[in-house]
Amino acid sequence: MKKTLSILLAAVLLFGLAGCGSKNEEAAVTMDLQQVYAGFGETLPEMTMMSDDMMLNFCGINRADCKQAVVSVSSDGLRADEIWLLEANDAETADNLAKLANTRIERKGEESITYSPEQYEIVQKAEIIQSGNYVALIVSPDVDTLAAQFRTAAGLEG
Amino acid sequence: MKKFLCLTLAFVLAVGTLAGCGGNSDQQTMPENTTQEQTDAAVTTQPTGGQTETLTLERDELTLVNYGETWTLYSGPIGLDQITFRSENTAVATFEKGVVTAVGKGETVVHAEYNGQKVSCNVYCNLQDEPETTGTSTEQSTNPGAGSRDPYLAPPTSEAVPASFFDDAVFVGDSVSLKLSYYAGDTGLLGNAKFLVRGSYGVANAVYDELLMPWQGQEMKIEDAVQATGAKKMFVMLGMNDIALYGIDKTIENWGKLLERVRSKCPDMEIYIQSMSPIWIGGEIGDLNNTNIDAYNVALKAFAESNGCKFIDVAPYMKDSLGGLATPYCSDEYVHVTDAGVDTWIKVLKAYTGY
Repeated sequence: MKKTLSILLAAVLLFGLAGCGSKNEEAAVTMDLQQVYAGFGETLPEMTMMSDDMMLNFCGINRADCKQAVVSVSSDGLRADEIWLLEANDAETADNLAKLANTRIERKGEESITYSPEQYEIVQKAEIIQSGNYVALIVSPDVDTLAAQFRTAAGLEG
Repeated sequence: MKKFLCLTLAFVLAVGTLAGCGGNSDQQTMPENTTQEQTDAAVTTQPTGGQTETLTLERDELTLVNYGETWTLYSGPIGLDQITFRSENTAVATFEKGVVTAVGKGETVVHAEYNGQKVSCNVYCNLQDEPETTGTSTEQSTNPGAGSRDPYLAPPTSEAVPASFFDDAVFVGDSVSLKLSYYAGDTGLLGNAKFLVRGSYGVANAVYDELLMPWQGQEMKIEDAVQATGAKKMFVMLGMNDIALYGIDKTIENWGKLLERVRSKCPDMEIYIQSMSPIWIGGEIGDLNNTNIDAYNVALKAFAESNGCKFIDVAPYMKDSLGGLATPYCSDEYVHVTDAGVDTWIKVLKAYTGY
């Protein structure tokens, strides 16, 4: 009896631990990232949509690593606004893309801290959301609104 | 009788002699279908069909005395769109469509090129008057905002090189060039040019590795990043984050170190140094002002030409009549540039690169 209870307890613990240590919010739905981006609408300023070459050269994003990729940056080169909406080919790539996003935020912070304290504050509040193989980077004064929209589209709780 | 014979002989001699006069025994026989025209600059033979026409200028030295004064140096039969006109210093005089226009005091040389031919004219702008300002401001003339804030010079219309010329080029710059990178990437106006740009970048922090340059997700020393792009041509505009901190002389010294580092990895790199664009008047801060920028650009030009680099003088085309960044070209009442400003910048690159 004691042995049975121990085994049962171990099994319960094992199943419980399966949900821990995950860095990602599990995606409940699949997303069309172009549509998600379109939903951001006029919340964003005038943005330049990055070509595959620009994604690679500026951000280090290899388009071939992604099933979907929508990347844009403020056209004026002054505002910190930047959006990445990516669906990686696999989980490992998604992790790498999230690391790239972190690096990108660090660099934008270094650039803006000296010549634009206002933009620096915006960069500091940027969000990286990783959901399954989806990775979103949102740098915007309206980060809370846009992040909530992304989470809704991903079927995640706000 | 004798007298009659003598008179007749004299008459015959006179008629025979006069019939042979008026011709130069050294004159060459002209080829068929040609005309000959002599100018102050060169003796030319201009075939009217079947041969390349000769390019000449109206003179080889020209002095202008008024701001905005123009002089037509070329008005020949060759189509203006077939000739490349260029001024070595557009802050002194421009040369477009065969016409020289005085912009500022000083000396420069203007060139015209056509079908392998190149002719030049020394231009001296000994300007006696003051630049004309236009505008509707009623404020006192001591107010730096008075006068036209529109671009002083129209963008160049001739293109010496197409967009594809920049396919193997890399542009290195600071936040001013960031806008260039986005606009060029969006429009393709600089072909497949690469960009190594980041805010706050300067010659000093490039040389002393205080800021690394991002390229494809990695951060590198400038010489490594330039090498990684695979570029054969490098266009650089830097200085905004240098001259107020370090002064002009130190910044020029740092340029020497920057070139040394780039050439250590890319010895065959063609390097084009661009003059620094101005600041919007009202946005100048301390030593970061247009007087210092103008002095820096003079020093930078001398440095470029004595260090095997080509100098592209972008600045004059970005200025208003007061010498600051023209209002339509300025996005933030400071140094950063609008789409219209970048469009002009690119036109300058295409007009004056390639020499």
